[in-house]
Amino acid sequence: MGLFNIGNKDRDGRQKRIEHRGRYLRASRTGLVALRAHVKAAGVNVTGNTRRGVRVSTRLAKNTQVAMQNGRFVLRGRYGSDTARFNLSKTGVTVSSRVGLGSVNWLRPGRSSAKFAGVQLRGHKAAVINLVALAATSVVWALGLLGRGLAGILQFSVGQWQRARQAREGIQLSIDDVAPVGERVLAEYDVAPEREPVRDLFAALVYLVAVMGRGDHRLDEARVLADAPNQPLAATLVEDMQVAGRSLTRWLGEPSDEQSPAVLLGVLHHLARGLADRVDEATRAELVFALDDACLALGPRSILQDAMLDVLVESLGVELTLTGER
Amino acid sequence: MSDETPGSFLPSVVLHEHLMRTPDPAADADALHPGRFDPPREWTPDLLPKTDYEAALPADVGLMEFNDFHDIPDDSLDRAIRRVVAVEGPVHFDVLADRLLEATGVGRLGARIRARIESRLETLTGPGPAGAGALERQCAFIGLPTQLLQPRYRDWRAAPEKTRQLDHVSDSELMLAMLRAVLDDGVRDRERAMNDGLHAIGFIRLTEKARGRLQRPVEQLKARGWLN
Repeated sequence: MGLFNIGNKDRDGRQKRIEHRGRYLRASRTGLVALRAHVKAAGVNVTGNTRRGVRVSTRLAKNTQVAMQNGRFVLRGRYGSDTARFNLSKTGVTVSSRVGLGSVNWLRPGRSSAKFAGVQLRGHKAAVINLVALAATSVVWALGLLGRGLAGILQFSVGQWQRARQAREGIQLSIDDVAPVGERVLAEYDVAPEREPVRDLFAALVYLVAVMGRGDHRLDEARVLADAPNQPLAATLVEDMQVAGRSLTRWLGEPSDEQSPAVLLGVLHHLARGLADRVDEATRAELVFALDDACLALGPRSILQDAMLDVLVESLGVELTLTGER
Repeated sequence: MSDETPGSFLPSVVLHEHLMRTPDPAADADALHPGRFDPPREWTPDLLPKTDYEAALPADVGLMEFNDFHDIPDDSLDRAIRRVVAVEGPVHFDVLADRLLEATGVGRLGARIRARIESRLETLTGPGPAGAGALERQCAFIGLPTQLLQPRYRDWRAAPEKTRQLDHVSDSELMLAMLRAVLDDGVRDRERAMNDGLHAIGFIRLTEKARGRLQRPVEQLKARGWLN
């Protein structure tokens, strides 16, 4: 414990009242130095104080005390919480609250108290200090609220703007639009995705999004192998992609500006459905992230690749939750 | 998903391997990969989960009715050999002979019986009448062509005690055991592949003799780039 409580904090983390309070001696700014002694007998407390005289007190009820001090009768009680505390005395009842730097008595402001840097103040001066502190706190809180509100509005506006931009630049085709187109292509070549090996369906999806999604038909084999130098089976994926790529090119034709994205998206949808039904939920989610990574391996995503990933998420039945979203 | 993330094909490679290791019983079409289900033409690793070694039972071999090995007609002996190979191939000659003797209640592999089995194997593995050449022989091991090029990943702890010898495991199966260790450990280290590969199929100690036995499979894996 520091000298005169200096450096000691109260329950609110503020400097404690600066005073010395020993077993028999108390010294403070207003009370000066006083010797005290206290005994309790038969439920009656007797307190002697060199500056205040003798007080005889007892507990009348919970939080209620009656006393005689130097021939004066004393009645006091304190009830309730910090928000609204009722104070009982001979002259009546008052209400006070803990606000600002101390406590404000709403009915008798002269009985308010405040503590600043360990110095205890009472009376009207304390009420004014409390109200000033309350006003300052309110201003800071209001500014914080306003800041958060503005940040929220800005974030919402940017989100709306980005969505509007994506909508302008993106490919506006739904699963309902592309599914029949893909079905026709696969039926023409007698392809049943639900009977194709899942490893080939996956290799075909990687080829579709990473190669055809960029308007290309040549796989950068070296890039795939460079990304997985310690994976002995990387070459197997390359081979599966190349073979699946030849099949896809035969069904869809070589990529060109005239080629409708609905054909690519439709075939992608059916291949993804053929895979989705045969793997578990965790694998479906990994599929989406792996294909997204494959898209980005050769540069920023194209508009077609964006549309492909949108189709994949829906076809694979994956629910994506953004960080912080519930 | 973010445009800022530098992409990579690594997650696709890892996921593709996971899918190859997962049994896919519904798959029977090859439109995406023509020839997917054709028999392999070169050594191909089996990536499906490990299974217990299964031995051919005497009752399944179909020779119980014969009291003397030399009374067995050629076609019955051929059928019995095919049954053992179907269950245990690639199977070592000694293991094959054991199964045939056990099925007929004969205790010892004598010179005449050995010669008879060798003779039938020569017919079964050579260019003969239709169907007769369906088996293949590589040194002491007999199997279907698919079994020799794409052996199953088997746990030899489940094999009968007399069968459970490293000399009875074919080179192609030893190659597979070491490659699976490489895939599981993610390390292409030769020593670790030998140790972990043997352990995985039920052989605990990498002795000098075992090292010698693994020499040829290791060289073949190195030649294919699977091992350092």
